Amino acid sequence: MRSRGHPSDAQLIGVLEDVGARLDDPATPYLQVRVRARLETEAAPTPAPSRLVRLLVAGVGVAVVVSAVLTFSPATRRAVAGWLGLRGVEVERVDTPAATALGRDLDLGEPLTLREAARRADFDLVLLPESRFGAPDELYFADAPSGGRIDALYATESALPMLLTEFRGHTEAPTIRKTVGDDVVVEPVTVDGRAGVWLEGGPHTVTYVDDDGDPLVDHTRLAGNTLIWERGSLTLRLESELTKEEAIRVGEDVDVMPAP
Amino acid sequence: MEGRPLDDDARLIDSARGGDIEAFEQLVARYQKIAVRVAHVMCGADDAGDVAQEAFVKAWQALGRFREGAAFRPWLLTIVANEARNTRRAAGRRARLALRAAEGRPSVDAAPSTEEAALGEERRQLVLAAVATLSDAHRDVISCRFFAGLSESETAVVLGCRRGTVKSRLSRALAGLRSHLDATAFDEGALRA
Repeated sequence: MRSRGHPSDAQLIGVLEDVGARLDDPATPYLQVRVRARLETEAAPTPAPSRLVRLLVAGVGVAVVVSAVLTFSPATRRAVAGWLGLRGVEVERVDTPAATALGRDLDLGEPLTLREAARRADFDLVLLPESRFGAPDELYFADAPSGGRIDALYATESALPMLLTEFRGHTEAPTIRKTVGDDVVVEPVTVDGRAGVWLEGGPHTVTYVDDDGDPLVDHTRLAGNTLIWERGSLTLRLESELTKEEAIRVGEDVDVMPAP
Repeated sequence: MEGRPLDDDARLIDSARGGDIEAFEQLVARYQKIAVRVAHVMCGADDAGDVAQEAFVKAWQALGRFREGAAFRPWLLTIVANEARNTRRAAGRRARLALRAAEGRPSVDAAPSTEEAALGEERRQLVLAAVATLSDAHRDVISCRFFAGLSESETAVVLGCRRGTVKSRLSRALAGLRSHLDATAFDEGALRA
């Protein structure tokens, strides 16, 4: 029986419990890793980057110029050949299969763990949504461009892994210059409200130009489809076999792991 | 509830006290879900992740003061609750609980009619709005007990009060909610009448 005019305690408690069952807690990606990174700092404090380094990094803006090329550059050829060779030749030649690294021969820099990556990068690490792709299988750090570059490799069920590249920088829309080859689609897209570029159909080189005007030529590692976009002060590049729509959805759904 | 044998927790706590970060990491994995839930219902979704992270770090630092043989979960949640209260005090605001994605979630119950679903949603929103009018003390006891699903005794530990206090606060909080709500929306036959 309910009291006249107002709901009974039992009715109220039923609805309160129903509210609790339907509450959607916020996603807290990599909480465990973040806590651990903090504890390691507590246990053995590591010197923070000097103020001068941080100021220098903050002062460097990086613009991106994308140029698509028709043919494989020697470096790309090396990367693709190395990648294919990894799957074909070695299996026949060795009795005990060696542990193969996804990123070997991809010229990605220094391999490191997720915790080390969060510490080394001069920015909050961006990772593919953990709920869908899990943690990266391999991570690499390179010194250039300024502030460091992180490459996160994710194994997939197909032969090609996915590669997420990130570094501090920003693109001014007018500075994106495109040279389109016949077999390469280059299309402006929007990712989470920010400008991006979608490249599909062939390998391409990416040239980053810093504030001093010095070009840093980079090439695709996997010859998959590529999405380049910005997020905060970061420029991100995702090489994968995803379709344009899927890649954009992933780009809008990334997890951010704050620096410890 | 992440039900695990307490002696297993005790073993991990013992190792963690000796500086074993990996042992503590297992405790984090085990209790992060409930820690985030308690933080969420006490200070809101935006700060819940940071509050939970900070609470785990403080728990690590305070492990030396953890009473041997005690249950880890309420001890940890006490730290989460303190951290959540400090955060909301600093931010000068309370948690705004929103039933975000949940409404779009397909029901596993016997499919309710559109009218029944709408009535259920109306009830929940009315109750949430009424909870928002309660004092912090009454709101916390409702949040811990019903939104985070803590037992009465756990709620008492987490909020730092006696079990009798939890009972009396709950009773007064429910009375406060009742006074804000009209029975009409709670009448099972409301739409069929």
